[in-house]
Amino acid sequence: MRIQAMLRLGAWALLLVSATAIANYRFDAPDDFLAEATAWPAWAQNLERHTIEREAIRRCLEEESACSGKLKSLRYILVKGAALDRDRQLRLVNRYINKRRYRVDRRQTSLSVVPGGEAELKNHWSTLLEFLKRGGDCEDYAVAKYFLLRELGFPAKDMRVLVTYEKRARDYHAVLAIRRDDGSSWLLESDDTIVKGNHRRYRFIYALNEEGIWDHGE
Amino acid sequence: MKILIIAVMCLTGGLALADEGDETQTEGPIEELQIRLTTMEQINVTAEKMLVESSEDVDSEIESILLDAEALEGEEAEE
Repeated sequence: MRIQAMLRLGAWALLLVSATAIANYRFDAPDDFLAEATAWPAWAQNLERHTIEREAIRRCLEEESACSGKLKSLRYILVKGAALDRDRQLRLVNRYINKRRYRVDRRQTSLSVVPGGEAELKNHWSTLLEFLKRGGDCEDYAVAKYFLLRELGFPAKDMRVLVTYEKRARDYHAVLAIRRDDGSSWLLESDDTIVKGNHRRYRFIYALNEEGIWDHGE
Repeated sequence: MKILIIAVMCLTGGLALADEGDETQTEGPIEELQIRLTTMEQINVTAEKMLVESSEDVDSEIESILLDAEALEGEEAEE
């Protein structure tokens, strides 16, 4: 009887672990790769603008007097953050970015009429400095964390801006997914939490970074 | 001679059909990609979340760094 109970318990534990593992975000789903990052013009333009901004960030890091505006506090975060281990860098960046003002980017959802009478949907992605100046919505938080962690040396292949449908909030929500050394994935949330073990409350929609776009299907 | 002409015409016609088939195959995936990207772009991603108290132990060094960074931003605002 005891053995049967233990076996039953073990089976349930295995089922729970398997279900959690399946529910967690995976970086290694090759069938989900949709296209190169350049296939999405608004995202590609954001990457280009960030490349230009990186020059200002580099100059500021090399010479403090070259820092103006938000670059001063950003420089401080980068200098101090460089001395921390990876886990603490993630916590620092998550907290630092989450302090920014939340603001719905109306340009992201608005339609504008262009010459000829056609309406086109304008999508807007913020760069790191644009976000630090103006704030933004959850997508902007995730993108800012991505760019800041890149400055701290996190590889692009281990990070993705991940758009999800969050079942609790019943709304679409973006987080930054991080692949850890052990293959697990952590999600950096805009409420200061880092979701490590259980991603069941999310339905994954799509993800992107500077290397590509992944379609998780909706 | 007639056989040669017919053979050339068949070959030309076959190549033309093959080209049309290739064009159809390449247009399909590109159109599908554009449609999918447009659908993704139209998803309204704006969920807001309130900051919550972390269940992890307070990291005093991280807190200190964040406070100092905030102080620098206060100086920026005054300038």
